[in-house]
Amino acid sequence: MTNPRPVAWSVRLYKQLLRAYPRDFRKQFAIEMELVFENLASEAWQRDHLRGLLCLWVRILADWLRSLPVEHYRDIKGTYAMNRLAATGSGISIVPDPTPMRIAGRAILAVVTSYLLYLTFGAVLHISMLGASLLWRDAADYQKWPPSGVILFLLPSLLTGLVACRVQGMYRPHWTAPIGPVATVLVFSVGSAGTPWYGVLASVALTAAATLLGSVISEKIARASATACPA
Amino acid sequence: MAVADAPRHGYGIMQEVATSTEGAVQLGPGTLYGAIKRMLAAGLIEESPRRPAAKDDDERRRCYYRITKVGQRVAEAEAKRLAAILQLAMAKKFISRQELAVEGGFA
Repeated sequence: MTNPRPVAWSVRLYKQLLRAYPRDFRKQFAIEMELVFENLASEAWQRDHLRGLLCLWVRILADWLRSLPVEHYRDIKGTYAMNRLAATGSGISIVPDPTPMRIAGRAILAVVTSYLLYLTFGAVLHISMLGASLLWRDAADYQKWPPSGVILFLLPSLLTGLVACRVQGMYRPHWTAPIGPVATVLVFSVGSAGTPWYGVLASVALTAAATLLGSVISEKIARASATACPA
Repeated sequence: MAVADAPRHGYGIMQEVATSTEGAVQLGPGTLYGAIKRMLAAGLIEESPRRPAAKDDDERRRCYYRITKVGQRVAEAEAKRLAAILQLAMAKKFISRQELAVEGGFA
């Protein structure tokens, strides 16, 4: 049976509203929510035609406005925070004269510090900037050899992701992961006189690539291991 | 509690909640599925493989949820906790047995 036109339009509009929910939530429930809305809209139309539909829309919009931030917050708490955590590890672990021992030492320190900061301050704090404020003096040295950024950002991202997965039980890569490290590099660049613009661009690109790669690899390892993260 | 007696899909849960609260609680899809997501994660409910015979495609696309053993125990514990509070409220004369019968619709 086909729906009356106002009901069909309402369903189409509600489908668009559903796009505002977090991706995982949509993937799991969008079809069912659409079906539920279709039932509600048909029922409202049969009961009171346009007036019924308008009343339903008031209720649905209130529900949408109420549930949207809740679901985004929960999504952020689960996914985004873990990437901020990885980003923090990256920022803190930047060293001026990278030797394997110093990189390893800083990386471990970064992972532990990041996790403690995460536990202390909660989910959505952009603590990756702490790395920038702590280590801005090292900027000039870091800029001299941008490829070191690959190791410097990849390793802590990888380790932090794995620790986060083990301890928190979940870790997923997210496109926002490089924001913290990129911001860190930009702060470094502004703070260091005489850095060429292509040096800044190269550092930013390498940082973004390395952080994302670190997130993705750590997720893959975590999934492959016995304590794989839940999807 | 809406899925305690039989597996229900989202719309069924909404109807059950509205009926059992005499229309006082009207869940929206966002609130409902947010709660379902959290209860699934907590192991209080689960997707039911058994479902009533589907009449059409829409019915087949729906997911039915049922209470788990853990969910059953949590619901019982919560009911007992609320009953204890109610007993205390009656003992302190915040509500009488007659008022309770009228409010709750008990005979």
